[in-house]
Amino acid sequence: MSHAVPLERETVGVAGRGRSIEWLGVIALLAVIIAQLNGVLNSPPDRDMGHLQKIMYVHVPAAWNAFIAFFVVASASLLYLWKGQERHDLLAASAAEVGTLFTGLTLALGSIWGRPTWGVWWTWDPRLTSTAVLFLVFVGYLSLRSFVEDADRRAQWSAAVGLLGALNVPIVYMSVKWWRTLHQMQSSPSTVDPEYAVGLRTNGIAILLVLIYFIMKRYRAARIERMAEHVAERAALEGRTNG
Amino acid sequence: MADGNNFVIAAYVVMWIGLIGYGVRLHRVTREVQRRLDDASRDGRNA
Amino acid sequence: MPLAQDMRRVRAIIWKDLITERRSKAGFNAVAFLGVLILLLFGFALGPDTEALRDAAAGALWLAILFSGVLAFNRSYQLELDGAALEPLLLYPAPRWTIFAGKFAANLLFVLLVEVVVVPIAIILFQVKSVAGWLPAAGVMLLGSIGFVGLGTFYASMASRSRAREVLLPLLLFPMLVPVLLASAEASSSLLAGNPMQDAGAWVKLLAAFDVIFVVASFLAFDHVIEV
Repeated sequence: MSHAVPLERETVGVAGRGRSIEWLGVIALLAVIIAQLNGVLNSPPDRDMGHLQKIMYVHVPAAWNAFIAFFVVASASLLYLWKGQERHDLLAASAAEVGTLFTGLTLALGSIWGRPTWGVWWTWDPRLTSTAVLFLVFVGYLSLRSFVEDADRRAQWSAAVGLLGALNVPIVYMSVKWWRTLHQMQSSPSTVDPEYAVGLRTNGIAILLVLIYFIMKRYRAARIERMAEHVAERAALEGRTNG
Repeated sequence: MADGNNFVIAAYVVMWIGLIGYGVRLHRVTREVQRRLDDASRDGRNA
Repeated sequence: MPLAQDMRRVRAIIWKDLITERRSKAGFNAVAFLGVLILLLFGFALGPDTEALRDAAAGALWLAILFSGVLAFNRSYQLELDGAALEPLLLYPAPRWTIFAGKFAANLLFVLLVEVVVVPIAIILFQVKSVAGWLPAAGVMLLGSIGFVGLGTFYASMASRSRAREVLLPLLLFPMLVPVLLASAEASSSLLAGNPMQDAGAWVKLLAAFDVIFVVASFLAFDHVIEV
């Protein structure tokens, strides 16, 4: 539904923020370059993994931030069901789109790391499996949105689907863990040696900046798009009443 | 492990393609919706 | 609204759904037959070695039920959609949960009847040696079906009313079924391999917990999605 604020001021409010978001983008880009260069050049090769350890500097931050995105989707969905404000729905959708990207990257990078390390492109371990399920939940969420035209219906349904999906991910994690234990599979080797913690954290924060930048930019685009639709609707209605 | 290095390079390339690719897509989407808003506002005022 | 009145509404919806289903007996026959067909295909894909088939029996059985069962869920809303009966149903001053409960019960009965056909066929085709107790086995089938039907009824309430409903329902539903599928397949596997209940016990408890979580969640979420 339209807000009380006149549309022109709303337009300026959201559209005007474009430039400051781009500054964040530049900062994020620099942060990633610096963190990655530092990680690749300054960290010594691992005892077992050798230089393969450096893949951790992209894989782990992608994973961390994928789950942050998922958390944003869940929270925004809850807020929407509670307050009914459209912008919470748009925030959830934006975070879901960016989350899909990061989850996909996590899976791809995990695969690239796994192949030379364990000899296989995929293992059915709890972390990788629940990430795969999270990816499918995101994809399902976005598919649902693309197949529903009415904005209110789309928002309500997405929120319900988002929350249920969020509920599912920790349950899957736990089930797979139990599943593997029962079949006496070894747990995956630890990917975080304390020696590399600093590098991981700096990369993690740099990618977090990228995540925030992407979500804000996507959210702004979604708001502008809805605004365009509202303006078009209003024009159509006024055109009709003016005869 | 020269072979290992290929995987490291592949990982970073994949990461960058993902990030830059999505960034470019975002720019395009923003331009498109901004254009749509400008068109709609213009038509609205003229109506 | 007194509970007795609500329960009467639930029964009415169950009865309505089942009656229309009976009139189109083709519906049940087709789904049950599809389940058997899927089992056959699994047999061809995984066999003919007896050991391999026995290992795969529980998994193939549950997948056959899942793939054929999803067809039933969209259909349970089809009746209302075709006859434009969903709005009148919503206008009637009844709590929404009665709609969910009615459809859930009707779908559950339908799926259980399909299983009556599919389970014996699976035991035969996959050369299962012996079943460690028919009652526990039936219990596992019931628990697994409850989780499956609960989530399926919920997601179908949306998928049936959107475009591309045939692909949207599995796309939304199947990731959510991973825990229920895991627990059901593991518990069934122990029973079909002739192991006593002890091995399956932990999975059965987990399955029961999943059922409670997912059915309650579906119940609560249904209110939000049926209205709009």
